[in-house]
Amino acid sequence: MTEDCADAPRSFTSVRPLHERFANCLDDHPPLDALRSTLLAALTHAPDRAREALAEWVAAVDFDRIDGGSYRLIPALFARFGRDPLCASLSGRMGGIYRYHLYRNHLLLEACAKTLRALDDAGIPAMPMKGIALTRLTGGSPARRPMADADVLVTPDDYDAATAIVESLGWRYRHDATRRARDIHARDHLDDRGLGFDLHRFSLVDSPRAEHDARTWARAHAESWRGANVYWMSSEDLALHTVVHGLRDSNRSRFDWMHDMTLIVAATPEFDWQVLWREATARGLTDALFAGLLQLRRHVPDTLPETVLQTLLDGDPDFVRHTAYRLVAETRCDALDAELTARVAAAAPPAPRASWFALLRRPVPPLTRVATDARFIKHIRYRRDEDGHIVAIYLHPAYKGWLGQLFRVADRRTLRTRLAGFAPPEAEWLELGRGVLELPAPTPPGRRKAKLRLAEPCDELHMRPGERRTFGVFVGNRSRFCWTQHAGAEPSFGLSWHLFDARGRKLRHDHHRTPLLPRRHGCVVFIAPGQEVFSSMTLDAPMEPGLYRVDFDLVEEHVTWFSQHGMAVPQFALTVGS
Amino acid sequence: MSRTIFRTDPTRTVGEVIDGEAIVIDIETGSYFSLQGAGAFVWQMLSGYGLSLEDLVTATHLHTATDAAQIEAPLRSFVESLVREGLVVSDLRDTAPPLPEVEAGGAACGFVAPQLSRYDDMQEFLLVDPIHEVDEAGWPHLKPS
Repeated sequence: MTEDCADAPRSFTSVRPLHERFANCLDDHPPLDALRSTLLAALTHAPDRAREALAEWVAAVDFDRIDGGSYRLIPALFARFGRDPLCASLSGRMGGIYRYHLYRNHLLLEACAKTLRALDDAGIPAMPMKGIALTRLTGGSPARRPMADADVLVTPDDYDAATAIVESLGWRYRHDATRRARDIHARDHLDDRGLGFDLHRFSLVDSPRAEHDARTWARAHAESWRGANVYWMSSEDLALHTVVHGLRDSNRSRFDWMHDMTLIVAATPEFDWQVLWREATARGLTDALFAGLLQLRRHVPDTLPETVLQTLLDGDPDFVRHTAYRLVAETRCDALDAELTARVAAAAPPAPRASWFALLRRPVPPLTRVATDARFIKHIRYRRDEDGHIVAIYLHPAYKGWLGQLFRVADRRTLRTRLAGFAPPEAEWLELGRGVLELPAPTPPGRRKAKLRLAEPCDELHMRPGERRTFGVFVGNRSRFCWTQHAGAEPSFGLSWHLFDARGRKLRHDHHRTPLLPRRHGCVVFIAPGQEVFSSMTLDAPMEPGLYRVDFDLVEEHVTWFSQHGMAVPQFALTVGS
Repeated sequence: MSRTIFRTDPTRTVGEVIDGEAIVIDIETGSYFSLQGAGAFVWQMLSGYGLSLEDLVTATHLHTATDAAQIEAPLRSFVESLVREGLVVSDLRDTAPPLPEVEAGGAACGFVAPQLSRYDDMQEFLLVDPIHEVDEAGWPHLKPS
């Protein structure tokens, strides 16, 4: 690593707030609109400002078309403002939602408590998570926080015994029985009333390893609850779950997790942000946590002071270095400080980091320019006018030649004129004016030449029936055309596999897909000709024990499989057994 | 002299007063009760140590500034219905619990006879969409079909 790169993250002299400087880290999460932001403000701000926000929200909301995230905040809003005259027009239905969750949550808590008592009697340590843990931590009525189900963690060693106890108490497995073997992380159950109980073997599906949860158990404290001896996770662990779950669901308009975070921090005077950060780092979840903390800074600034976030970053320069490098390498650094961008762009790549760099083992020539580092999927961000027309793009000069594939060129002459003088050292915004570039781009023919290879070569594999396993693969675009993904379109390219019996007869052609390219708000995402990128894909073992053959393949959705166009497929023998 | 004390049973019920209405849930049966009028006040009074009927009448008289003679009969009938539903239990005690602090004249509208509504088919009510399938009073009051 060069000195330049090592110094890069130290350029924190900017007065711009961190959530603006690292706004590109939020590309995967749709921005919160004004209405939902106002609702959050009504719940989290001091009384005067909160009431102003409430007035705005009541005036603008269409209660019949309320989104899921907003719905989940209604009981808390009713608890805070139910009698306020501002809410008069909505108070009946808001109160009804409060009553509904008062009723439902009490039934759920009682059913959960009964199950916890049974686990306790059997000597199985159990840890309620999510809504139940939050309700206990913050006190007050359980109505305020809607819960879809009760989530309880046990250790992997106790998982099967705990499952037997849970199911003996009338909880039925929620899904088709064939799915049970694939439930590595948790098993969902329902009772006759439709209440849910999720028994977790691991606390987070994103980091399903016993050694991670061992730290969670170690930080938890034991305390009796409704007649059962149970463990309660620390506020920091609860916060990590809240952020990671919240962001995972953010494409479904969930933002209520920010209110949960506010409650957790408010209920924990000694909340330790360093513990939260270290745990996320150990689990390889720092990117997700950082995105969540940026959202908090943006929308609930009192919960997370700027100095706290700054201190976290100052304590982890390696994270800043990698984040900046990735943003520059993916050409989505338009919000980053120019000085930091320039220094990262001039530097050699940083050393591998766990989470996403660990599998990128190919050496990179030291003089490779970061923005043209072929290992990274590329982006061209665009800005639209109020009618939805593209008026500007954030463009690296190396990508000029691909614009005709990434967009529909509506005014070739103007585009040529604009590009003629465009030669900045790094990516910059290029103002185009309306009507020059449009979306979607036409699909070029002949882009189905690819190379697909496993990151870890494998000839033979053993799996349990129904087991799901993740593989690292390198995918190379060997065609003359870009592979593209637009924000609003269905996934365009996916990784999947074909299943054969031991004699080579095809058993099943189509399986679930792992999208190759992310769909990012306001971006055309692409893999350029000649690029080879790293991706992960999942494989589900068949339920029937036996000998199989698996071929990995790449698909252009609704068009074709690449293997049908001559691509060599990685294949291996698969033995399925206990 | 022993007196009959009425009190809520926290092992069987949970309740919360919202906007002048007490919502009570029988966690054994899953039944849902709405206590309105003076019912919410009665529920608050009987939570904790409980009260004798005489003390309940006194407390309600202080709270509503209504003549005790007018409120005794409806309160007696209401407490009997709470006992019948299993929401309140009674026991004989030699010492009466202390009268809770009561906000005098706190009920602006005077005494409104307590009412108890019971919702049994909660399986069905749990499936109701609490935004779109309810009237302006909100769940569990359904829109007329």
